[in-house]
Formats: sequence, structure tokens, C-alpha cells
Amino acid sequence: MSLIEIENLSKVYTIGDTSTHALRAVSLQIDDGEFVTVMGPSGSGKSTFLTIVGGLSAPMSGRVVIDEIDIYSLRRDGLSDLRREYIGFVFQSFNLVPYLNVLENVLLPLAPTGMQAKKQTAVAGDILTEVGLYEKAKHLPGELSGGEQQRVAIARALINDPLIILADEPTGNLDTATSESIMQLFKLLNERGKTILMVTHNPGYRSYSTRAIDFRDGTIVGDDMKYIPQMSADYREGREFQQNIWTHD
Amino acid sequence: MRVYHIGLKNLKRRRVRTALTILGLALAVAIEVALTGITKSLEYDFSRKLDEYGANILILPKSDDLSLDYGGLSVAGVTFGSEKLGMSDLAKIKAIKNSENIATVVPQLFHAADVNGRNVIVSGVDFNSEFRLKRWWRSSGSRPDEPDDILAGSAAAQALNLKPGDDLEIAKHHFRVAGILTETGSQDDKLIFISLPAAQKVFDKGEALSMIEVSALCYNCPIDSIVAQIGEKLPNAQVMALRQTIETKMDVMHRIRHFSIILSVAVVLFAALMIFVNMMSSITEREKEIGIFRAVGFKRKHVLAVLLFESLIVSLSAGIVGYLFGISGAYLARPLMGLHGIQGFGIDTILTAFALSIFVGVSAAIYPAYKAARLEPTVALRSL
Repeated sequence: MSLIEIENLSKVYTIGDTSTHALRAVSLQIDDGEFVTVMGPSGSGKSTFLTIVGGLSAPMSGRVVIDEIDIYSLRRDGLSDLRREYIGFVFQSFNLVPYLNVLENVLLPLAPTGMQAKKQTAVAGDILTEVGLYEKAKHLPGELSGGEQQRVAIARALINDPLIILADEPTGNLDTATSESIMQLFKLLNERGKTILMVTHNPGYRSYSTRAIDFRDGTIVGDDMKYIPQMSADYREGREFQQNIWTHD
Repeated sequence: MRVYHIGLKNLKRRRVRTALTILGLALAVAIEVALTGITKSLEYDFSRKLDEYGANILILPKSDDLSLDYGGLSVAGVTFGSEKLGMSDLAKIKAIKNSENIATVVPQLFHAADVNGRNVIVSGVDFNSEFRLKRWWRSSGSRPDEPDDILAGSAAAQALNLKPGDDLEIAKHHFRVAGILTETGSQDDKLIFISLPAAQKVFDKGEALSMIEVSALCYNCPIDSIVAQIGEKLPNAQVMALRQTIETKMDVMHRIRHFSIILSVAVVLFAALMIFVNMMSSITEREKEIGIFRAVGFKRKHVLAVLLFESLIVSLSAGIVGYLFGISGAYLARPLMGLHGIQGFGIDTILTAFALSIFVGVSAAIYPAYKAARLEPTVALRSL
């Protein structure tokens, strides 16, 4: 079974007397370790698709099954737990909390958990080192460049070691050189086993992904699958452990 | 990092807003604390003055032969010549459990006597106690200080044609008019006052007393309890509280207290409204941030915890600042109110200040926090 199973997703936005079909019976399967770029013109439904897959907004009909969990059958708190444990979000405008420093922003998803402070700091330290921002752990987001802020957002998305990273135009506010380095980072994460679903307008980023999906008017009009990467043995082991926790909880 | 850490960080970030919110709530707490202190002090001061201004307990023998209109109050059951009350009872009164509330004990002996061919009631009193109890007494001439000095009520003096320095014979004993009381409008105008030992001697009453007046300081004491305690000590006496005096006093106190409560409630409601509006506006500003919290896995209860924790910190700080402001305000207002001291700054006032601050601060924040917690995480993605 695929890591993400999407069946007949539909979503209609109604404003006054006007209804807009954002998604029309979209179905898709995404396997473990895929790096999927989602492309399409503005208003094609790709962002709506991402928010529904990420458990942020319920569809009008259809199902999203992640790791064999029908996420919208969960209670509201269960959905919050799932977002925290399974998904890391990276947004175009970084969405960092301005009054928390880099380290605290990265630790944000761990705040509601009971993890000990020392362990939290150790985990965050490793991730900040990985994204090259360990030295700026005490800086506020406003003191960082756009690229650095996006690295902090990526570090925050990784802090819970999620299976899936959902990124919505992560390079939309960055210059070309910085964008390339962020994409390299995503590629690296994908090579380490993370499943990535990224909305982008830049066709050039297809080369980083393993699969490209095109949206038009709320439906998928193109699905170009290049290859399914091989998962490492360590990653597969961790993945099975995480799945068991949810299955038996 | 813990959830409360976020609340602290936000309060530090918005220093001015946090300080103004604390100040607003602190002012409400301060006004409540100061009003409580001033009200208690006014009550205490007023009560002491009233307590000292005339008797509020009357002790009579139990026999019921005559009635006496005393101080505008109908006091039943005075038996002149009764010997059921005596000098030894004075010490018993001062030995009751609430003895510290007894301000003045005034013994009296009444006896009808023929003076210059007219029937007059002669009252034997302890002049020092009498003048202390009846601060409204004014007299022409001098205060009686010799054993054979007398003080004549204005009506009695007019009827007997007395003036200071006149000699007078009562029950074959010689007395001198030391002074004439100016009109009091009470039964005192009709009496001739001589010293208690002299009265007991000339009327051959030994140590007998007709009546004992007691002025009890009853700011913090139940008058009924004092009456009961005296009754226990003097089983042969009839002990009565002068309800009229007490009820007048309580009525004034209740008015002061009600005014204070109304003012406090108005100020507290205003503070609650201010915090509510402030929180609602803050929530609107923080929608995106709350959306981020929800997106990264915060449950509604976690968002609620962040916001209510912030409100709790603001409330506690306001409680401290408000209490200190309140004390200072009350002491500064003291001379304006003609008060010598301020009452009511004990542990109960501190606890009340904190309880009030937390209740107002947190309860005013509950709805905005609840509203924030219900925000959907898609708010964070509005920019897309």
C-alpha cells in the first residue's frame, strides 16, 4: 500500500452565491520516498490539494489515507497529533513566529510534547547543524536572510522526524541562488528517505523531483513518474516502528 | 520548550501592551484595595466615635415597677430603690470575655427627693465617667469636683431657681451648685446630679445602684454577644442593647459599604471590558501565529493554555502592582478623609486583591482564548 492514498477528493468554496470547485474527484497514490512536485496555474487547486493532504482542511468528499490512517476519520486532537508526528510543513512566507528565536521556532512542534528540555535542545542542535544555522540559534527570524529563514522553517519541519514534508512554494520569496540551495536541501532530505510533496511554479524544479503532477481546474491533468527511490534499511526500520505506534495506540 | 514558554515570550515581545494591560487591571485592583481600606477605616473611625458618643447598653434591675424614658428611648422596668445592682457589678462587667470592647461603664443611682419644697429626681453619678460618656454636656459654672458639688439640669435649675454657687439642701445634707447644664433636650434637663458616693450616703443606699450605662466599642464585636456576656455575669439584671443607636450606626456603615461596593464593581467591570477588548484585538493580530501553532500540531487546548497562561501572568502582576498602588493610594488619601490610620491591609486583603485580579483577568480572557483556539490552521496558509 502507498504511503499516501488519495481517493476522490472534492472541495468547493462558496462565497455568497458563487461556488468554485477547487478540487474535482482527485485521486492519487504517493509512495514512500517519492519527491513529488505539484504544478499548475494559480487557482488550479494545488494549494487546496496540499492543505487537504496535510490535514489542515477537510475535503467535502473523498478520503486521505496516510500510512493506513484515514486522517479525516480521526478526532480533531488526533488530527493534530498526526500533523505533528507525520507531517512537516514548509511555507512560502516561512511562517516563523517572530518573537521566538531560531532554536525556539525549530522546537515549536515539540512544545506540546513531554520531551525533556535537554533532549529537545540536542535534537534541534543536530538539525540546525544540518541546515547550517547552529551558530544563529539565538537570533530572531527578523535578523536572518530569507534563505536562512526558510532553512529554519525546514528545520522546524524536520524536528519530529516526520515521514512527509509538505512544501508550498518554498522558494517563492527567495532569489535564484538561495532557491537552488533550498532545493538541494530538499533533494538531500528526499535521498535520506523523506517523502516530499512540493507545490511550485518553477518548472525547473521538476529535475529535483521523482515525480511531477500537473493541476488544471481542480483536476490532475499530468502525472509524470520518473522512478521510485530505494529506501535505506535504517529508514525502513524507523518507518515500521512509527507505523506500529499508530496502529497499536 | 514548553507551551507556557511561548506565552512568556509573547508578553516580553509586546512590552508596552503588556505593561498597559497590567496597569489597567492594576488600577482596578488598586481602587478596590484602596476603597476597601478607606471604607474599613471610615467604618472603624465612625464606629469608634459613635461608640464613644453615648451608651449603647443599659443595665437595670429585673423588677418592673416603673418605666423611664431615657435618652428618647423607652426603658422599661426601672425600680427606684432597688438594690439588686451594686458597685461590685462594675468589676464584673469589666471582666467579660469582650472586656476590651467596653469603653465606659457609668453607674447611676436615682432617688426622688424633696428639694426646696419640690419633688425632684436626684441622680448619683460618677462625674468623670458621665462627662466622658456624654460628650455633648455643656455647663455654666464649673465642673463638680468636690464631694458636695452638684450639677443641675437646665429645667430643674429653672424650677428651683438655681444658679452656680447657690447652696442647696438635699435630705438634710448641704450641697453647692457647681454648674448648670445647658439644655440637652433629654431627661437630664430635669435631674439634679450629685456624686455617686454622696447619693449613696444621703439616701442611705449603701453600694446600691439603679442603673448602669455601658458604652461598648462594637466595630468588630457583636453587641448581642456582649449583652449576653454581661447577662451571664449579672443574672439578677436586665441587660438591654439600645437598638436605635446600633441600628443607626449600622445603617450609616451599610451605606458607606454599599457605595464602596458599587464603585468597586463598576471599576472592575471596566477593567474586565478593557482586558476583553485588548485580548480580542490581540487574537486578531495573532491569527497567523495561532494558525502556525495549529499547523505544527498544537491542539486547541494548547492554544488555550498559551493564551490563558499569558492572562494569568498579567493578572498576577496586576495583583501585585494593584495591591501596592492601593495601599499607597489609601495612605495618600488618609489626610483628605480625616483618618489617622488605615484598616484592612491584612492577608485577607492581599488574597482578595489577587483573587479579584486573577478572576477578572482570566475570566475576561476566556472567550477570546476560546475563540482563538477554535481558529482553523488554514489561517496560517492564507498567504497562499
